[in-house]
Amino acid sequence: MWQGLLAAVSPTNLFVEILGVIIGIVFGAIPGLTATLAIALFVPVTFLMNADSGMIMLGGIYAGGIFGGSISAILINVPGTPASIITGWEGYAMAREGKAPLALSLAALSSGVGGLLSGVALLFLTPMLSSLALTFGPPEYCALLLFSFTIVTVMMETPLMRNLLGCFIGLLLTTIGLDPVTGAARFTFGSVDLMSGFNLVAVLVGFFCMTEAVFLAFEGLDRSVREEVIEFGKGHSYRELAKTLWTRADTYLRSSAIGVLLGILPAVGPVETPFIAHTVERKFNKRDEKFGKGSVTGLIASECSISANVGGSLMPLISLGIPGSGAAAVFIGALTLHGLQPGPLLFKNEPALIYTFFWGFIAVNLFMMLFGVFAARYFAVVLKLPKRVLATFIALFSILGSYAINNSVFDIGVMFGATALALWLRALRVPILPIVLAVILGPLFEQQTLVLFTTSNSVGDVLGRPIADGFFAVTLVMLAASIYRRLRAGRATP
Amino acid sequence: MLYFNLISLFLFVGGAAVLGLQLPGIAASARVYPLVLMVLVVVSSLIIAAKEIAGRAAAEPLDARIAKILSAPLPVRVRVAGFIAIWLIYAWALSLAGFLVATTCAIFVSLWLLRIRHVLVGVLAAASFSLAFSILFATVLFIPTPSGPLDQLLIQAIYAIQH
Repeated sequence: MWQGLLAAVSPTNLFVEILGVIIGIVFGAIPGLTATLAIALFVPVTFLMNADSGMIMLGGIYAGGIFGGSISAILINVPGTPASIITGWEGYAMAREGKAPLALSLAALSSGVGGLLSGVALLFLTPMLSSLALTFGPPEYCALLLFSFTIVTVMMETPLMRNLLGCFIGLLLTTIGLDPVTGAARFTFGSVDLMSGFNLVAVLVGFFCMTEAVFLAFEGLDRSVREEVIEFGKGHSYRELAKTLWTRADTYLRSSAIGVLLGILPAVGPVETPFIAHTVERKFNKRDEKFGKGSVTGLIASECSISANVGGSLMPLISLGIPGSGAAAVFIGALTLHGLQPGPLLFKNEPALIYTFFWGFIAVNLFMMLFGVFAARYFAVVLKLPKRVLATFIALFSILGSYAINNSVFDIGVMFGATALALWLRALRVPILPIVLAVILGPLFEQQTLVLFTTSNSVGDVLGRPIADGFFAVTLVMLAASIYRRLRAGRATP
Repeated sequence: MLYFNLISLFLFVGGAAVLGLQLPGIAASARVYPLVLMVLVVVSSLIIAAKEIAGRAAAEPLDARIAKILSAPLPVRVRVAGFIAIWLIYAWALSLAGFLVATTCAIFVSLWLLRIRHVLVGVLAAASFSLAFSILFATVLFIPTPSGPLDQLLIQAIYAIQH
């Protein structure tokens, strides 16, 4: 553990920590760009680095990107990322009262505290989860993966059948290539390029980056969008800011805990978490009449929980190989590029790498807090970047990033294909997250299912495993409850 | 929207059927898992299609961002289509014209299509950026890029300067 700390504070890693946070804040601050897009865009760049430096940089981008969304949310009431909607309610109202610097600094402090606490949780809880995961066999993995797919499909607000269709399409796409057990070629149509299937990084870049470039290109042409005026107001007292750490300590701790716990669940990412944390905090602060209209407590709850969610979502990724959010899912691309397979064996085989990443994650949250408290207003200049420029360069980097993986034009084609699929499914109201999860976890699911069926002699071999039984039971209950809730609400199920 | 949804769903069924036609050529043990998934894709697509036809589908609006593009004036939509086309052509032109020429042209045309205010600035920005990245890829990152006549001249120049 302590070797990891020393590695995390090496000059190279300190540089990538700062760089990652700055990149993340810039991307997060610009409406239309998200932390997930930034991570997907920079995954190919990490190919040029050591695995630990690459992971730390992506962690910095993730943490910075999640906080960055609050800058535009507070200053112009346009959330830079979907996670910052509640921050916009509270922070923009404070900005209109002339307290924009306080709101920005408070958002940064809350983000930093949430991120730091989740980093500590990552450091101490992940090894425990990983040790547990080492006892998992095919029944537990199949049950856990089914649970992950189910939670993603039932938690989405879109019709259940469409969520399932997305999941099935994603799983079917992963069967293209060589069969993982027998090595037989499937659906390659004689193409050598298809033998290794679709490159995961190219698919993720197509899903998240190129689609966004298309939307930004349109928004850059849309003359109905007016430029927002940014008003900063007067400065604030740092003492007043620091005082919230003990006057609102319960809010910080509660929101961080909610963020970490929800982050562990695959479908509950930074978007849903602040709504839950905000609602919980409202119940504990019934006398605060400003909740939703410029409440300091509301702002702390929102930002703290979002950043805590980041660390929480990385916990199942590292220990089980199952991402806790869409952005965490893209991390798998980075690990794959370096020939690493996320899961409990990664913890066992590369403990130095993992602990370096954990300490690096704590460091990036510290840097994010410092940048945010002292320099957030300077990042606001990125809000003036024309969307036509953003669209052009995101498209360019998407293509170059896809090409650079294997120096293959085929991967650029895969990226464009993924873009077309993402836009098509979006028009069809099929959400992207089930497909992303299916594409990432599909090969593992197939492998574990095949091993399960070949090694099990009877149903009893599967049902005799309490952890697997637990996951199967929760999966069935969740599915049944979701179907019942939707039918009761009178919502059609297609 | 109904026709678009139905055509899409039947295309999914068709796609699964096309993949299904490949199954006999695959070893038996490697066929089962994809076959199950194909059946699930077909069944779920048909269920959604049946609900759409019966009018029981939830009347949810089209995705807001896509709806805005589709309802935009024709010249705007043509420019967005042009933006997509230029980057598709860029991917194809990379291996023919080389990184420097293809990237410069792609950036400039993309900015021009998206109505950049100062054309000369666009040209200079495109050329400068492409040159800077070519040098970065060649000297710092050591990423090989598709090479055309200008790229080879650039590499020779870099080599001459370094030695």
